[in-house]
Order: sequence, then C-alpha cells, then structure tokens
Amino acid sequence: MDILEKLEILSDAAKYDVACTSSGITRNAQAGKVGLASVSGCCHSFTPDGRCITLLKVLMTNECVYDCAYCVNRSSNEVTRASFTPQELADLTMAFYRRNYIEGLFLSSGVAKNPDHTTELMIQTLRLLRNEYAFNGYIHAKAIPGASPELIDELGHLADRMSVNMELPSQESLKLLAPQKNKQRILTPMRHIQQNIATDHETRALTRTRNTYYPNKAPTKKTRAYAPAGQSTQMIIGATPESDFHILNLSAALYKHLALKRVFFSAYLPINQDARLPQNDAIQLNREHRLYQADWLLRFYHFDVSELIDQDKPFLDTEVDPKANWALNHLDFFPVEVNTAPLQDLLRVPGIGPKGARLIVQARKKSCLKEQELRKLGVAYKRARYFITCNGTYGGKGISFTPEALRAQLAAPIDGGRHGRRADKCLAGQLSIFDCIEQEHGSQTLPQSHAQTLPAPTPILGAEQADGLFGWQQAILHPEKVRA
Amino acid sequence: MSVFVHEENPQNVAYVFDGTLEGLLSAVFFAYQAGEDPQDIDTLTRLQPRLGQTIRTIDTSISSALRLQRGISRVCGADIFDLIKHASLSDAPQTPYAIYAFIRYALATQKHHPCTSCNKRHSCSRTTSCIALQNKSYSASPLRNEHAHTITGPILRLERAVLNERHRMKQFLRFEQTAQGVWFAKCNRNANVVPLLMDYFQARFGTESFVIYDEIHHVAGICDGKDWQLVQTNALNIPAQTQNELLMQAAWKCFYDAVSIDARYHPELRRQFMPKRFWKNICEMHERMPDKSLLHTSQDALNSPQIAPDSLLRDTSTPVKSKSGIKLSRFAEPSCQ
Repeated sequence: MDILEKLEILSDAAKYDVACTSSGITRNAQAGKVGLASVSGCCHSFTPDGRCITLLKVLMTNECVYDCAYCVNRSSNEVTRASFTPQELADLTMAFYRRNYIEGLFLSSGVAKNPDHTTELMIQTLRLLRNEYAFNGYIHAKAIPGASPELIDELGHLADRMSVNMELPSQESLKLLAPQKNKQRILTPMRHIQQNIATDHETRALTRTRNTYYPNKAPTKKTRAYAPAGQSTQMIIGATPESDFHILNLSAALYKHLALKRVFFSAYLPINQDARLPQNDAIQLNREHRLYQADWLLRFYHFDVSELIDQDKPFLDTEVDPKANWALNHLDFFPVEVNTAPLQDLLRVPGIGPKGARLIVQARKKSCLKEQELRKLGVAYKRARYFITCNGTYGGKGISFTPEALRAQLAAPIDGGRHGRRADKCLAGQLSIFDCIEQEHGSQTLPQSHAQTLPAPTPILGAEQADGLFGWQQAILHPEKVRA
Repeated sequence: MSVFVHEENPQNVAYVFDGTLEGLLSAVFFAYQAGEDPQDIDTLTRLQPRLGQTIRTIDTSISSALRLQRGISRVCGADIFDLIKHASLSDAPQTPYAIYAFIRYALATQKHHPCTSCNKRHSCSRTTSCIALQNKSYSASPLRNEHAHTITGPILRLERAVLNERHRMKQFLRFEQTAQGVWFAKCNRNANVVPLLMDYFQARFGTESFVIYDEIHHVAGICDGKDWQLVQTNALNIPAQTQNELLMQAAWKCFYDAVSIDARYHPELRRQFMPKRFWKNICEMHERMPDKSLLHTSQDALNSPQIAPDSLLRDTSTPVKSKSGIKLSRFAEPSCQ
C-alpha cells in the first residue's frame, strides 16, 4: 500500500478527533533546528465544515482490538486497515512542515496489539522527529489508556501536548458503548500526566531561582520539558442521555482537579448502525455550540459553573447564549457604568468580551467614554447598550427593562439573519435550491420539517380569489357587481 | 493659461512622494522644514489634486528620514515608530496623510524623553544610544490607548489591519520546492507585508533559502539562509517543480479531502475564516490534480527527496514568467509522462 493511500485511510479515520490546536507554548527558533511554535497557534487551512487544520492529524494505525460502538475503526467494522511506519510518518511531517502546510503533528492511534506496543510505535516516530530531524515545531500526542507509566513519561518528554480521550461523560455510558474501557483506565493516565507536569514545573523553577550565595551551575545538557502545553481531553455529546448540567460540572471538575488546558466537545455523528446508539439523524450542533460558549465563560470570563446551569434546568438555553441567559436572570446587577466599573463587572455585560473590556479600561484612562467612543472600540454596542450606562446616559431606551423584552432583543438573529449556515435558514416547506446540494454531500442536518409536505392553504371565507383579471376588467365583465 | 502670475498658495499644498516609508518620512520632514501644512500627501499615481493646489514632489532623502525617525523615537518611544512603520505598509488610500497628521500630533503633544532625570545621561551621546531608542519596552506609550481619538484611532486601526494581513499570510502561504531552495508566489491585496514576514520565515526555516514574491506589490523577499533582503521586481523566472513537489501537493490535497466531515458542511464558516481572495495560491483549493500516475512513483520519490533528473526538467515546461497565471500555465501543459 503506498503513502497516498495510507494517508487517506489514516486521516479519514482520525477526522473525528476535534482536539486539534497548535496553541499553548511559545518556542523560539533555535540554531540547528527546524521550526518554532507560537502561543496562539496558527491555522493553515480550513475544512469545508469550518474547522481549522493546523496539525497533520493522523492515526499511527487504524487496527484496533477494542470494539467501541461509536467508533469507525472498531474491530467489528469492515474497513481497510493500514499503518504508518515511523520513518514514513516523520518524512511526511517534515515535508509538510517545510511547505508551511502545518504547524506540527497530531498523533493518535487505534490500539494495535496492546496499548504498550502502540505507544512504543508512537515514541519511535516522535524520537525520529525530535532527535534526527531536529524538529522544533508542535507535537500533540494522544496517550492510550492502559499504557505503562514509563512509556507515558517518555511520550510526554517528546510531545508538547498530551491528551487522553474521555469519550463519554459517565461510567454508565462507557459501560454501555465502550465496554472494554472503563473510567479508571482513562483517569489514571490523566492523573499521571498532571502529576508529571507539576513535578516538572517545580524542578525547573528550583533550578532557576538563585537562593544560594554561590551561583548555581545550570546543567549544560538541556532536557525537554514534560508536555509544556498542558493536557486536554475530548468527549462526545449526544450519543448518551447525559444533561448539560452533568457535562459542565464534569468539565469544571476536570479543569480544577486535573489542571486541564481545554475540554473539547464533539457532537455525535451517526457513523455506525448499532442498537446501542441513538438512531435519529439529528446532529446536535447547536447544543455543542452552547457548550463551547459555556466552556469559554468558565475559562475566560471567570464564571462559576453554578451560575451558568443548575439542577432545575439541566440543559442550556438554545435561544440565547449562556452569558446573555445569566444577564437576563440577574437584571439587578445592571446597568453597569463603563467609566468606573471594574474589569470583572465589564466582562459580565453581553456584547463586551475580554478584548473589549481591556480596551475600555485602557481608553477610559484618557477620555470619558460615551456612545461614539464605545462604537469605535469594537464593542457590540447594539447588544450591550441595554446593560450599560455611558457617563450616566442609558442607551437602551424604548425597550422595557424586563427579562422578556430584553430576551426578545438578545435572541434576535445576528446580522439580520444573514449570518450563519445557509442550510439552517430555510423555513418550513420553503423551496430552496440548496436542497439538492445538501443531499449531494449527504448532509444530515436538514430540519425535520423539510420531509413533511405543505398542507394545502385553507381558503379564507368571503375573500375574493385571485383570477388574473384587473378590477376594471372585472367591472366590464360583471357590471352588475359594481357599486355605483 | 491665465494672464496673471499665480502666487504659491501656502494653504493648499499637496506633496508627492515615492511610496516608500523613507519617502513619506522625508515628506513629513520637508513639511516641518518649510513650515507648511499640506492638505494631501500621496504617490503620483494616487494623488487627485484639488482645485488650485500646488503640488510639490519630494525627493527621498535617507538622512532626513533617519533624523525624523530618531526624533519620533526620542519623543514618543520606539514602539510608536513601529506603529508608524506597520501602518505605512497598508494600501488604504488615506494612509500617508493619516500618518502625517499622527506624527504632527504626537510630536506636538508628547513630552520629550527627559534627559535631565535620565540615569544614563552622562554616558549617552544623545543621538544613537538614547534609552528610548534602544529599549522597546521602556514605557508603553499612552498614545497606544487612545483608540477613540480622531487622529490616533485610524492609525491604530491601520496597524491592526496590516498585522492581521501578516497573520493571514503566515497562515496561507504555501511553499514549493525547486532545485535550489523552497519558494512560492503569493499575492496580497491589502498590505505590503513581505518585510514583516521575512524574519518569521527565516526563523522557521533555519538555514534553508527561500523567496517570497508579492505579485501585487512587485516585491520579492529573498533569504539565502543567513540574511534576507527585499528586491523590487516585475517578473520572476522560476524553474519547474520537482516530481516530489507534485507528490507532496497531491498528498496534501488528499489529506484535506479526507479530513472533512460531510455531515457538518458549512461553507460560509470556511469562507469567513479563509476568504476567497486567498484561494488562488492555496494548492488544496484548486481543482483536483489529474495525475493519479504519481502513485506508482510515490515510494521512490518519498525515500529520495532529491531533485528530479535533468531529462524530466527539460521535458516538462519552459521557465514560467510570473504574471498572475503561474498555476494555470503549469496545468495547461501536463508535466509528468
């Protein structure tokens, strides 16, 4: 099997892994090495579904001894199996990197013979890249649950980011859909990685501080840091009946106790026919979107999980985003005065994000901010004006300050409805030329109403039926009906 | 022509410069020297003179540009000069005049770096070793915060636009390997960002040589592994691609197609992140390459990534003149077999 075919099979098998970013560390170019890394990452291309391509995302091999229900590579599926040799994969990565197609490598794998064997193959590839080819770019490695701790140590020293897929949000779901995996086998390597990162941090900090009279001699041979960009994980949304409350609390606990950098959510896509999996075709893209918005609120806006969601309403609101939802439920917190409020309060206003809040804090040192200045600063003034005052002036007059009225304003479609997927904008029964295009691509996101036929319009009693004649023509034909 | 002799109207003057940053700084220096306040500053091709306007062509003088640079750095800080440098690379029509107004405003309102209280005043020679010139993070200038100001705001937005364009180029540049080194052809419409990219790619490539060519602005950045320089050029003679190069492009296109999920098809989002004006130079967005016969030679080509033999090069194609149709001309004559 040749390299193009292998690449096609193994990247097709890896495409459902969404945890693919190249951000987290900055590493400057070093003499004798190829490449560098930047903390914000760099997306080199975008797929037709809008996701970014920044790393060469492949599986080492798609042979797998496990039989998880949702996975396209499960052992009971009939798919062509392929494997990269470490040399092939390293060559491909360097060739793509030099051409500026990618920032680095994202290496995952199916479990070939046992977790240790697969991890050893991955380690061989990474060693080739780091030592022989002097690759200084970004490497994201997936640790296989069940691999031995020494191998995970070695993998972490070669990669920049490690992750272990949580797959499903609860032990019951795992038992149902992936009976060969269990919660402990997944959490153990995550805890192990977290401890390794923490000890590595401490050791490096100790060698840097000068707390003795005699200067410390820094070790001449520099060792690589352990997973400097941290750890992340991924779970599938919609395959099993957990609520958003359960999922968000799990994410918050993972951030707090396992010090994860990021939790990724992936909407369940029906690939396999299986009685254990939900059989409808609806893909919960909107729910995934709201979960990501809630995740951002936890990490960048300093919200607490209990503020976003609670036991009584365990699902996030689909109409408005979670931040607007919080604002509508806590109208006593508003209006906020932009010229004096602290940064934390500014972050709570719908329409003001971290960048806008920082700009406001900077700009208000020089001048008093009124509506004109706020518009220039790049704040979403149309949304924010109901919740702020500019030097005492409230800009949201005309709309009553009640949750219902403000919800109608905030839930209005963005940009007058021009923003967003064209496929989602079709109304029930409306003919659309995009219908045929959607079917070509095998899209499964048509709303249910497309399948139904329109009911015939009921005639309104007493109204005249249109028959293509002008009024004066009617009058000539039926002169007796004209009221003189 | 009228009978009367027109007196030069000092109120209504326009300056014409040569389009470079040095030229713009010379023009601003001239305005200070002559005590004038021009209404417009622009290049000859872009200037639209007003009625009764006197037009002065300013010669580019490196010494006056350097003097002005030092003056700005001493008064406002080196980061403000960087701001001006970035903003001047923009293609927006009002850029030169906006920069002129900004320099006037900054030099008028900012306090000079106080030499009397500076702790290096005894060793400083006041021209080259001023702290403000050397240490870029000496103090974040308060001008940086004035986003809502009528003169400073536009400059900050221009700089933001130029830096965004540079980031887009970092994302979407695609290199191709030729016999000598890797290079590529790019085009960007909004800003002339090649000077800003050369450092980044030199760091990324290490010791390899490369060329970045900007078709719209006719500027080529050339790096030979140690140093880089800019060259103004209209046409470029590029040798043909290697066999391995076509294989790599086919592999990348194959990867790109394999990674997309049809069920989440959302072309509007992709267009938002990757505007269509970049697609011309992004190889995976072209039509699928017709040469499936590459599969037979793929294994050897991958194992020996050297230059293709001479006979192949001679057969394939003539050296391509770089107008905007580089890719088109290659595919017009099928290169392999």
